[in-house]
Amino acid sequence: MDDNVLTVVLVDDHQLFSRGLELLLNTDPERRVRVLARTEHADKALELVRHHRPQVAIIDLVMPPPGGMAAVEEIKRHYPDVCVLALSGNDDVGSAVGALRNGADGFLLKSSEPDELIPPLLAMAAGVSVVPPPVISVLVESWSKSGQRSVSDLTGEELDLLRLVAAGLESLEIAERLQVSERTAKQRVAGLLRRMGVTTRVQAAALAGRAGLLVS
Amino acid sequence: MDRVKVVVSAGTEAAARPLEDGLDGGSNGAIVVEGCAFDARSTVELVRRVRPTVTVIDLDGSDEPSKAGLATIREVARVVPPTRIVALCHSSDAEPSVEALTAGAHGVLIRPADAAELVAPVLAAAFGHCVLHRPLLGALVGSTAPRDSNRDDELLESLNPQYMDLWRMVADGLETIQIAERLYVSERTAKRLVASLLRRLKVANRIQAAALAGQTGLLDDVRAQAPGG
Repeated sequence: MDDNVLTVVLVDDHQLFSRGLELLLNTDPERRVRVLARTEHADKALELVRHHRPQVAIIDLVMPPPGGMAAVEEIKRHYPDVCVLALSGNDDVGSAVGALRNGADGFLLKSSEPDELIPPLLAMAAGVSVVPPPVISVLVESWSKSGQRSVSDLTGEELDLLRLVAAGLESLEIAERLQVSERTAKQRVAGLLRRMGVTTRVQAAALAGRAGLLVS
Repeated sequence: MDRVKVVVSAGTEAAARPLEDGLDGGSNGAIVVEGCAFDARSTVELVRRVRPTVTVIDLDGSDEPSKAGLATIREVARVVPPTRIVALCHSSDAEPSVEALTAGAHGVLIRPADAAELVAPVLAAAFGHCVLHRPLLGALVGSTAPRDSNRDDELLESLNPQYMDLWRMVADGLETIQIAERLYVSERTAKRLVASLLRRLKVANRIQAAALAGQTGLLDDVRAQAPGG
C-alpha cells in the first residue's frame, strides 16, 4: 500500500501556507500523498531533496534569496527524476515560463483550491505536466513563431541533412557526405523541405538557424 | 465532492470502451462517464445534452492527429465552450499535439495502455488546469529559449539599417532581381550589395546568411512587427 503513496517535500517561506498544505495533503481521506519534510529556506531545498528523495518537490517561486527559481534549477540539475511543481501567489506568466524553462514540470497558482491539488500532483508524478491555461497560450504562440515548429518532429537523419543544407552545401557535396548519388541527395532534400513545409533551401536554413540547430 | 461528468469520443467503439472502463472504474467514484460518441456530430450532441465537465477526445487514426478528431475538438470547443477538452495522442510528436491545442483542446496526453492512468490528469483538467504530456511541455518551453551569443549581438550592432533590411530580404529568399526592385537599384548593384553583406557576415552564400539570420533572432523581429504592419 505504501508504494502507492506519493511522497512530497515542501519549500515555502510562508509557514502558515506551508503547514496548512502539509496538513491538508497528509489528511487526504484516501491517503494518496505524504509530506516527508518542509523547509522555509530556498538554499535548503537541495539538501531536503537529497535527504528525503521525494517523488515531487513543491517550491514557492517567491522566496528570499537565493529564491525559488534557483531552487527549481538546482534540484532539476542534480535530480532530474524528481518532479518539481512550482507555485506562485501571483499569476505572472513570465515567472511561470521562467520556472518551466529552469526545468519545472508544472506550475500552479497558490490560489488553486487546496482540495484540488492532489490530482495535479498525482498527474505530475505520472509524467503529465500541469500548467494554467494562460501560460499554455503564451507557449503555443511562442512555438508557432519559432523555427521549432518545423524541426521538432524531424528524425535524427533529417536533422543531420538539414544541418548540411543550412551550411550552404550544394547537392553534389551533400551526396558525397551521405555517400549517395546526387539524384538521391536532391530527392532527400526535396523530401526534407516538404516535411518542413517550406519550398526553398534558404527558408529551411533560416528555420534551422531559428530553432538553434546550428549552435554547436 | 461531486462526481466529475465525462464524455468519451473516439473513432470506434473498440477505442472508446477501454477509456470508459478505465475512467469510470479506475477513479474510485470520482469520475462518471456519461456516454461515448464516435464522430464529431454525435459528440457535440452528447456533450450538449450531458454538459460534461471534461470531454476526452481520442485522436486515433493513421494520420495522427486524425482530421476527424481535430474536427471534433473544433466543433465541441465552438458549440459547448464550458467543457474542458482533453485530447489523446498516440505519439509524443509535438506537432500534432500543438494542432490539438490550437484547435481548442485544454490538454493533450499520450493515450496510456491502462486508461485508469488518465484519472488524475482528467480530474486536474476538470479543476481548470491544462494537462500536457511532459515531452510536449519540453518542446513548447524550448521554443522560448533566449538566444545568447555575444558574437551575434556584435554582428547585429555592426550592421547599419540598410544592411539589416538587405539581410532580411536575403533570408526571406528574395532573388537578386527582386532585391533590386525593392531597393530601386540595378540588378548589378544589388548583386554587389549582397556580396558585400555576405562578406560582412563572414558567410560564403545566401543559404548560410539565412541560417545566421534565423540564429540571431533577426527573423523573430520581423514576425513580431508583422501584425502592426
